[in-house]
Amino acid sequence: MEALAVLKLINFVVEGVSLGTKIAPLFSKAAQLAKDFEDPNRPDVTLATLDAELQAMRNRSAQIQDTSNDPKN
Amino acid sequence: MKTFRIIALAAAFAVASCATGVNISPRERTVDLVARYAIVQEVAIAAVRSPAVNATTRAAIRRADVVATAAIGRYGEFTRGCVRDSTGQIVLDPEAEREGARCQPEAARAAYPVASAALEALIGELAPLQSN
Repeated sequence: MEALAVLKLINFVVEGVSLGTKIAPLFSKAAQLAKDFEDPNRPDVTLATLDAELQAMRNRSAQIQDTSNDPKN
Repeated sequence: MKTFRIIALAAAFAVASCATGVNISPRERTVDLVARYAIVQEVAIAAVRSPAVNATTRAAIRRADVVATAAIGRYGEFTRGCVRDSTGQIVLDPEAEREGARCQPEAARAAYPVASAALEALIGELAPLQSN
């Protein structure tokens, strides 16, 4: 197999593992929420929790908008 | 590229399965939306840092993120003041009221499809990623 093809394959695997490692817990969290919502006796989300989730969203957005890590292309 | 495409499609699937369950409250809908958006955002973070993604696509992802984050944030503002009480009714949360928040279920209902559409637009930028 050509060296370039090998590198692409390695990059694909590493990229996939790295990203997969980050988002697997997020899939689990979304699934757990859906399960929690089935409990009719559950208390509502607290204001603190809601605000924390919204702030985390804004923090992730800041990472997306951050250009300092952009590759040179 | 295939990595992003596969994961973006998985994220789209997760997003498409919006919150159901028993008596979903406005706050729960917000938390659910944010949780699903988090998946898409992580893919977007990886995409804008990837050398395999060109500058044009990177800019499009960032624009879509700005719109989606604002739309979901707006939905969150409409729901912040709303809490489900022990009888299952949605009422103004006194704690939130002290901070000046209001409970706006009608505005929230109007804002939810806008937030969903903005989220799907970001997925749309991630799914067909073009390489250099």
